[in-house]
This record gives sequence, C-alpha cells and structure tokens, in this order.
Amino acid sequence: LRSPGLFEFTVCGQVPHVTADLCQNNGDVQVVSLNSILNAVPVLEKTNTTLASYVVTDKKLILTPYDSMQPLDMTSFNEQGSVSVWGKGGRKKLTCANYCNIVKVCSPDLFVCMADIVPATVNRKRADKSCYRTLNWVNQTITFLSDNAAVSQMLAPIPGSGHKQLMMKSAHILANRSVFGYVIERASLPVDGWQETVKDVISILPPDKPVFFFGALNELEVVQAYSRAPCTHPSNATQPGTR
Amino acid sequence: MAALTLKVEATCSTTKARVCELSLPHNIFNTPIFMHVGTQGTIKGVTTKQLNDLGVPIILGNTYHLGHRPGPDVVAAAGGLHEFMNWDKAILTDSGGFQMVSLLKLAEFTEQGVKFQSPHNGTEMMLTPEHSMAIQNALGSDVMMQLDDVVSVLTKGERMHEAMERSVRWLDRCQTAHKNTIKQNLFGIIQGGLDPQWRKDSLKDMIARDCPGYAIGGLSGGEEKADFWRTVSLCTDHLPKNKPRYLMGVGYQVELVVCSALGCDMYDCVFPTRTARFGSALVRTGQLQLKHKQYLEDMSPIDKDCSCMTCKTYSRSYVHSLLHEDTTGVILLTIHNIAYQLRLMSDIRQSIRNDIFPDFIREFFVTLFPDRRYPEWAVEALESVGVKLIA
Repeated sequence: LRSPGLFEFTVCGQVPHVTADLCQNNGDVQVVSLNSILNAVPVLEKTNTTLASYVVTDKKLILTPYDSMQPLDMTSFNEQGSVSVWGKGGRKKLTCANYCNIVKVCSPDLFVCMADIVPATVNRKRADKSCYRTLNWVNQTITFLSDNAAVSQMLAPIPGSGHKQLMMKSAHILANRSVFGYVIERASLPVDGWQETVKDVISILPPDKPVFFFGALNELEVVQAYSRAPCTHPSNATQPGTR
Repeated sequence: MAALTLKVEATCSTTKARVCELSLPHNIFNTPIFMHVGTQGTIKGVTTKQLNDLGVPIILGNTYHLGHRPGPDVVAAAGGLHEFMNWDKAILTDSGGFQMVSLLKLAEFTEQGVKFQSPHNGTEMMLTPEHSMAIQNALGSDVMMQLDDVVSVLTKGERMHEAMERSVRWLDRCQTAHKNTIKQNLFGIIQGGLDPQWRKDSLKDMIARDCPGYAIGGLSGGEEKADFWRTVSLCTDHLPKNKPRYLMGVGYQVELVVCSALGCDMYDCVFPTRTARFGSALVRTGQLQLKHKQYLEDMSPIDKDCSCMTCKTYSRSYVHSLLHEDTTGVILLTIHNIAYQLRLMSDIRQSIRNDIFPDFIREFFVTLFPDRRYPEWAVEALESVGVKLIA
C-alpha cells in the first residue's frame, strides 16, 4: 500500500457500473462490503473459495462489515451482541463470532472489525453505547482469531461519531491493541468541523500504523484528510460519481 | 470507389446459404452477420473498447432516437456518429419509421411523411423521407435505411398495399435527398406484408431502383411463423445475388440458423442485449436465467466453450451474485450474449465454407431441442431448402 493513496470502492468486487477489465489502472486495493457478498459466503465456505478467487481479482482486498458509502440510517437495528447486515435475502444478524468466521472463510488481505458505527447526529448516550460495543468487539475479535493469521490483518474502527472526547478515549484504548491499522468513517462524522477532531484523534494513534479514512469524500475532504494525517488513506469516492 | 461491395466467397450446395465478404467504408467483414443494436449510440453498459475486444464489426444506431438526442447537428459537429461515440467500425442506422409505430400513440402516416407528437415536449413534428436522410447523412453511418411506411404485419387489406406502394415512392424521395452516396449506402426495404403478390410487386419496384442492398422489412411483428419463413424465402428468391439481404428484427438463434439457410445475410435485434439485462445468458441449449437461485452454487462458467471475458473470468455463481447487487452483472451478461451471437454466426459461416451446413443445422437443433420436438415452421422451412430435420 502506497501512501497517500486511494482504495477502489466496489460492490461485490466490481466498481459500481464498471466492469473490472476497465479498472485495471485504478490502484491495487479494493474495498468490499459484507452486504454485497453476504449471500455468497455459504458458497465460499462450502467450496473452500476465498473472496479474492470468487470476485477474481489480484488486487488486495479489504472486507468491511458495513457499506461506507451508505448513510448510517439502519444502525438502530444493532444490538449489544450483534449488528444487522442487509443482503439480498433481507436482514441478517451477525455476532462477533459469526463475523470472524466470515473473515476466515473470505481470507481478505485486511478486514475492518465489526463495529457499531453510528451517525454524528446521535445523542451522547447512543454514541457512548457504540463505543462500548465496538471496543468490546475489537477485544472479542482478537480473541476469536488469536490462532488465525487473520488477526494481524484487522483494522479497528474509531467509534465516537464525531464526539471528540469519545473518539479520543476510544483512540487511547485502541492504540494499545494489536491491530494492523485504524479506520475513521466519514459517515459517522459531522458535516462541518470534523477536521480538527480527526487530527487530534490521529495524533494519539501509533505513528507506525496506517489510518484509513472511509466514506464518500469529495476532493476537498480528501486534501483536508491528508493534511491532517500524513499516513491517512482516503477511500475512493467512486460511489458518488457512478451512482 | 463504391461505398459497398459484396463478394460471394462460398455457397452451400444444399441450402440457399452463402458466405460473403461485405466491404463498407469503415470495415470489411463476412456475412451472415448479426448486428447488435446500440439504439442511442451505445450498446447499453458496454464500451466501444469492449466491443472492439469482442470483435464486433458493425452495430446499429437509430435515427429517431439520435435525431432527438443529441440531435444531428451535435453529432455532425463532432464529425459524425463514429467520432461521437469513438467507434471506428461500421454503423447501420435505421430510418426511424419503426419507432413511429412502436413508440408513439399518435403517429399518423401521410404521403408527406409521419406526423407525430414529440415524446419529449409534445409538439407536433413531421418525419419525412428527406428529413430522415438529412439526419442519417449527418450521422454518417455506413448503411442507411430508407424511411418506409411501416404498418403492423397483421394489417389486412388496402392499408398494407398502400404502405407497400408508398414505401417505393418514399425510396425515390430518399434517393433524391441522399447527399452522400460516395460514403453511405441507402438500402431499400421490401414491404408487402404476408401477401406474396404484394411482396413480388415491392421486390420488382425496389430492385429497379438499384439500391446497394435490400432489407426484408415488415416481419417479426407477431405473424405466424409459417407465413414468416415463406415470405423470407420468397424475398431471397427474388433479391439480387450480388447485393446483401438484411432481414430486420430477427435475433433468436433458431431464426438466425433457419434464415441463413433461406439466404439472408444480415440480421439485427435487441433480443440478445435486452435479455441480458433481464439476467438471461444465451447458450447452445437455450437460455440460462442466472437470477435463479440454483446458480448461486454453480462455480462453472456460463459456457465452457465461450471465449468471452465473462466466461473466461467469472463463474455462474459470481454473475448470479452480481446480478442482485449492481449493473455490472448485466454488463457481463451483455458481453457474453454479444460474444455468443458472434460465435454462432461464425460457426454458421465456417460450416457453409466447409459445405457441411446441413450437418451443422441438424446438430444445432438436436442440441437446442434434445427431445427432438422441433418447431414445425423450422422443419418446413429447412425442408424447403433440402435439409431434413426429421428423417
């Protein structure tokens, strides 16, 4: 991964509306959200096929449990022990153990830990709850995958939804966890004023670990993200352009 | 130098099928050929690069749609449709007449032209032969179709006869208005419905106008297949051998095989690309509806004998998953269906060259109809040209 760099947002391994043969020069990293491959996971498990083989890519794959390009308007379905993911067949509740098993089946190069990422408009109490759940799931994931190489490929999302104090507290805790890197979700940040919060949060995180910025960023936000954190990797904003 | 030349390279010793080399200003290719439809200057979801990679030699554009959006002036300013869509192979444009009937509730045919209400702003407009020629000249297509008086093939009585005769008069007006005979070929369209005598009258009048090529129009509109093939055969019996015969609106694989045996050279239809958008892949055994959940666990390619990018890269399971998530699923299917039609026509041509077309036909039908319950019309049509499907 080269920094600064962009990742390719995909739906089920394809850039929305554009086939892979036309995207060869888009960079080396693809992001795949779980909802777009949820129904295929049992097939991958049954046929012992990795996600990269299924979608047929030689790019690096990052698996996320949620779609960073979608608004966070269904997070009320998340519970203390599970998140809800919507696939073709409807809503599916996933515990941390379920998700870790999916990670083992898919074998992505990196994966984002299961998280209760909520929008910045939630109240402090809800944001606090999201921090508690997410940090708990980070710990659980480390435990569940302790005997699997995948544990070293985990990206920890920074919860807190724009509440600076909560985000910084979460960052302090996560800084001591054995993770590959960190993720900040644009959809969970407020429209304005997020830049300084992000800068302060990143200053707490280990400087030798990358921080990925996922979500529908416009060009200005990409520059702003870079200017606050030299090793931040904004996610490719193909979604707004193609949809 | 002529804008079109046709060289017959091989003929089937049993049927009326032939392989020809068709030279157009932008491309030279062999017939029989199936032309995919890019109505608005693009085959939906597929780039010109992908069409080139597939080896597509010619596509269709539509005068009615392109005449409205973006309009002939915009296309002409870009240097013609080839430049506008960055496509350097051949283009055939339809005249817009069929859309007058199929799309518009209030189209009215008069001797002057077709009066209709614009679907975009409701204003009254008139499409005349001269106007259709002006648009097609601006588009710069290799082959242009005359504006014909289009009526439903099921129309009976004097209206059909009137349409046939008017189409001849409109061909005269098209030929007068056509400004670019050096680089663009104006095809006449044989009409006459299902009436053999009217068809012969149309053939006689149209052939006398000495067009570079002819289309068999007014079919594939719901008529009985028994009438369909007889009309096609009648037309190919009378059309000049040294000019291409274009059967309009035909694209199902059975029809392509049978009508090639009846002597047709060119075909077009939205079917292959449209059915892809509904999740259907064309294969020699028929069609696979890949949205069906049975394909979720099928890790084989759509067609193991197909060399298209889709079949070489992805499994049926993956395409099934994609179809429910993003338009890339239908794009991959479109690419496959385009490749399938190209391969079918290539196999037809090769079997004609090797003079084993009847064997190819029999094998094709057995594959498609393993229970040997062949369509009656196909059996009759093929028997008329010396191929017995049923011993």
